[in-house]
Amino acid sequence: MNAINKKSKWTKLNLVAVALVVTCTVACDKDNDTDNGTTEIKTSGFVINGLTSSETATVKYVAELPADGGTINIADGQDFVRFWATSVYDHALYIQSPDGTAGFSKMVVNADGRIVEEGIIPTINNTSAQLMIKDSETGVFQDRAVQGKISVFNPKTMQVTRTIDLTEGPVPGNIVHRYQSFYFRGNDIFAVIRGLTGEDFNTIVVHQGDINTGKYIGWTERIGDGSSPIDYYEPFGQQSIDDQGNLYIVDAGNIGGTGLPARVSKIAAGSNSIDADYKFEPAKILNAQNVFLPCIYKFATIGNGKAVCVVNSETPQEAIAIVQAAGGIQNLTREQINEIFYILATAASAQWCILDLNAQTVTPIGGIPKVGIFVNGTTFTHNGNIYLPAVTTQETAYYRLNVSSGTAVKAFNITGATLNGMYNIANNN
Amino acid sequence: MKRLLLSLLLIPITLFGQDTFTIKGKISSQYANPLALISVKLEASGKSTQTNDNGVFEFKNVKAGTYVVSISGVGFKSTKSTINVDDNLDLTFILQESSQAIQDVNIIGKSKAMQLSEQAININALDVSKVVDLSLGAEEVLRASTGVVVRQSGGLGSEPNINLNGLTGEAVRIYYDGIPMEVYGNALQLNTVPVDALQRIDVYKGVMPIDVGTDALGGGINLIPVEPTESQLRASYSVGSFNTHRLTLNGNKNWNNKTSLSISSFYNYSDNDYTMRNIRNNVERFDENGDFLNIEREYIDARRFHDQHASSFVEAALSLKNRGWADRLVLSFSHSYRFDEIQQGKFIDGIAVGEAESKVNGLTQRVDYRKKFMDDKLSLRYFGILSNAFSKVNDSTKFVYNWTGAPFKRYNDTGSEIFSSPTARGAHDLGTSHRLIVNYQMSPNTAVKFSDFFSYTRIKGEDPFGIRLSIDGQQLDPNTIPSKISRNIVGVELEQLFFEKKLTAIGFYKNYKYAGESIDLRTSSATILPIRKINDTQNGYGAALKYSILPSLFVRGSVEKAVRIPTEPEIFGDFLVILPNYELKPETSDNINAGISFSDHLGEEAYLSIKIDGFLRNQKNLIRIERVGIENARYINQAEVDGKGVEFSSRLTILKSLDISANLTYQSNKIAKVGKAADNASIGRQVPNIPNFYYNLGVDYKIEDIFRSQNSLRLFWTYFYTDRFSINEVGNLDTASPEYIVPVQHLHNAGATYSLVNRGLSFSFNVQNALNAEIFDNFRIPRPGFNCAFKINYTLSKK
Repeated sequence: MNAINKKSKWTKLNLVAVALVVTCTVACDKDNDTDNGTTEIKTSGFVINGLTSSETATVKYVAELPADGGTINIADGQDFVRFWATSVYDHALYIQSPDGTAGFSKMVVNADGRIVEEGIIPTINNTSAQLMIKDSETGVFQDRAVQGKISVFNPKTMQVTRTIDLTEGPVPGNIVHRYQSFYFRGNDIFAVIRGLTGEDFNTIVVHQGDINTGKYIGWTERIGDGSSPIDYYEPFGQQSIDDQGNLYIVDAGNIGGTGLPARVSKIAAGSNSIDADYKFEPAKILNAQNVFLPCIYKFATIGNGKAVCVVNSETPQEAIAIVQAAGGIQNLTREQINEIFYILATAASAQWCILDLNAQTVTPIGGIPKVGIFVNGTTFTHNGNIYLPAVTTQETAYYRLNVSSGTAVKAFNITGATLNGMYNIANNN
Repeated sequence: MKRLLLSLLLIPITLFGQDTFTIKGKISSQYANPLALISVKLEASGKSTQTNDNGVFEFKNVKAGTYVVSISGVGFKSTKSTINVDDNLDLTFILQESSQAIQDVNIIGKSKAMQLSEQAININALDVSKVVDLSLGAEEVLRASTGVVVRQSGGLGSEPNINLNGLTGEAVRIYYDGIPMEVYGNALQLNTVPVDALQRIDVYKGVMPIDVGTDALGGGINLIPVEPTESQLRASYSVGSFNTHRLTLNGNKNWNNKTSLSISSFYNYSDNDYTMRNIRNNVERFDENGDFLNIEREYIDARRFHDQHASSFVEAALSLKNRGWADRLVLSFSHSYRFDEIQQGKFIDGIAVGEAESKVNGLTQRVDYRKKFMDDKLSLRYFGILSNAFSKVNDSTKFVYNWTGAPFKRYNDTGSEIFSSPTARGAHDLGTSHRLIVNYQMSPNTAVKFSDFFSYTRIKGEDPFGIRLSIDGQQLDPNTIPSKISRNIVGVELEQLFFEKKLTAIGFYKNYKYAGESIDLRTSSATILPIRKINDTQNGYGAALKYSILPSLFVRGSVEKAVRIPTEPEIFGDFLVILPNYELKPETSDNINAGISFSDHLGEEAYLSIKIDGFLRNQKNLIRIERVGIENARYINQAEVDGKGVEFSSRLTILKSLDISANLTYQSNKIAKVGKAADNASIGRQVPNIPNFYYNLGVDYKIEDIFRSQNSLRLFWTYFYTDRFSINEVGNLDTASPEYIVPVQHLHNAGATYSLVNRGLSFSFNVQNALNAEIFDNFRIPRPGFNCAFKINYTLSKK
């Protein structure tokens, strides 16, 4: 009797075990199916990234651009804690981790049009923000926890492969620092430094290294007026080299009111140093009377020795009135200077312009409204056309530039969130 | 014979000297809280009265003889005592708490908390006497209230976040005995104050009365500490999960009815080493040669390892009462201390914080003076506080830790774990606050009140690792330049009763004025010290009405334009990543509150209380943080938020000892206006990170005279439900990213308390998260799973 009971229990246990195995196997198979299903990604289309009023991100994929005058509404986009893209390559966007944690993520658009994380590179320092892709096999980033070193990784595997050691490079004041942006030229990397917490120096210092050997090559600098800190904003992607291989390092001048103008500096093809004789200052060229904020922003080369950027062109009447009331610039108090700066930073006083990098001329683009100097959005290209963001109190829109005529026409509106960036995933950077 | 003669001679003298006597008495709860509106009957004399706010009653002209004193009040066990009156008497009674309905009561006694809850202004006064035996902090009591969400960023002592009727952050002010808690220099915090140290928690929704509030936008929370009135010693100790210990000691010594000395103290300690499930963990990978390869992410169940908390508070007070020049003068001195290890930043990341910590020592002196004049028609109260807080934040290590608690082999050259650069900031906060309240009862139906609140704070410090400004060629630590801010809030209030006191009408006006100065961090290469000054004046006003339809039923409503002054960090930045914004304006809110309340006995053994309240808000110039590029942020005025909500609260007592309660809150806080046209899509969306719907159910059963007479056993169970919500601003929860949604939460707490009243002892055991559910704190930080605590209370009273 006992034996029969034991056998019966054993049989039941076996049945349960078999059932569990079968269930697990089926479940595992289903997981594999799902995994296989998400490997297909979109290779064309556009990702639009917006900021909500709560400073979180809403991000949407669209397969096609709307017809002229149409609208892309991103209010129903996917929500992330943040979404700051620094590079687009092989149909993937590289961003700081979208959940607010330390590190970088590779984001792709799956077959359903949803933006999904395909890979990650955790970092130690949670302010690490700059990652740039050179080619399909090579990308770089700096974990700001590690001074003077840049990590090289494979964008396909998101695995770090080696380190570029630039600790030999000089740092003004020998303060702790970070790399604010990376420029590639051949196997060389040029990296602009700032203080670790964003401090600006009186010069723009650029370290140079060899990506393949990981060795330090040298450094160069753009010298200012000796006292004004020079503000620096990194460009999006690799849009700073012209057809001849000249590399352009663009700064914003001093945005604190000292009047130091923004400058396009050049490292000529074959040279490793900033050309001391090349001092292209578009804001001063556009308006020599632009005293307070002679700034430029959103620089991007467009071929044929030209580039586009936003140039602050005029001083709003409100600011002029403050100067006149004070009896001249020399009499302005600190409060008045701050007030003027606030007006300049928010007024629609800047123009999209075409820069001739060789002739050092500035040509305002017609057909596109004036914008604030720190206009949101990123430029992108599609079907050979260049699209420029225009964010004003009246509209948030993209304008399509006709380079030959120097004019732009309105392409489409963006609604649903504050525009932060728009990326063509068919293009590289 | 001589003795008989002597007696006969003395009798007429005695009778002529005093043939009637005065009987005074004081009634307190078992936790030494004075009980107001308790019915006291001197049977056979035809005399009856009620206790006043201090729990005191008095019978005059009582003839000699033997009487039975009958005492009764809602929520307390009735008692009868026989007294022999042959002289003036000064009696003391202690009532035991009971959920038993009162029988044969002519006048219903009400606790102070119940009285407050029936004011024209919506005050939810939470009587902590029912939970004082449990090992809980003040935040746990608030969680069971309607309209209040309390969240933390970790275990005991971690940073609390209060959401009151949809308002959060600085919009909700926390007070300790009427003093803004920040005046204590951050050494005191809502979730470090144990329930034993409190007699009540007053939650103000909508209108803050002029004599309590400062610049709270839509409400505030006032922790009312225990005020022992008898010579008494109370002590408690609890030990719980995660090596948590709480100790309280409160004592009071009355030398006579004019002088007493009291001490109030508590100590908390916890390792807070609870396990979090499925946490991201970063791991270093090295090749066979030991060269660094990569950081990889894994998911583990991680035990918190650097979240130790210790805090203490001790206050000694000398009370002088019943003097010609003062009804009451309290002089007190206190010391507070807090130490916190820091375990993570705002979110749970793959990297843990392993060394950063903060501590603060606070020293305060307080004076509280009260005096009534003109037959008690005019009352005056002044209280002032001077505090010195010495704080230190240390975040200056190059080690990096993951969630296993082990340091990485590689160093963090940044030299800090939380802040963007190393800091070892030491600061000295000097604060002083003063409030003067004058109340004049012009007639039985008319009262006018005046209040003036002034506060001043000065912060000065140093940071050996912090940023430096170049001033006239010299490198200056900006922390060494003091930041100062002062506020003055003056208010007047008129209260008028109509229709035989059935209708109460209140109107009030407040004026807010503030001024501050700090070094301007935006300045570079200045030649003179760049000091920025700000100041502003705002006005607020409002009204409240209450109408008693029946003795057991009333309706009430209030309207207010409230103002919140920006805080110092919001204006001047934090010297690290928050940039200053000198143009920041105060937030304002138009608040409307309305409600109906019913409470009555249902037969002899049942008692029912139901409250339904609703609120509407329009919050303008909402101060919120705006990202400036990837690196920095600053506070700006921007959105306008419309809030509305309804709250339901009920309590049913049946079968003498069974208490059932339910509290439900539904609220909606939607963005109504935005600063930029591009943000228009946000209009109509819910403000993120605030739950819309939550409720709790509680059952409390008390068994009297168990095992021995007067001993009791109390069993309770509470269930909390919180509906899902998103920590991001989203248009639709159904299509929002699931990883940022806080899912539906079910929390069960339970416990038991055994009280030996005659011995002044009680033992309690309580379990939190009994079903080990997944519960989240602010920004989805996991809360502990199943945890428990055991507590022993001892009270020694001199009767």
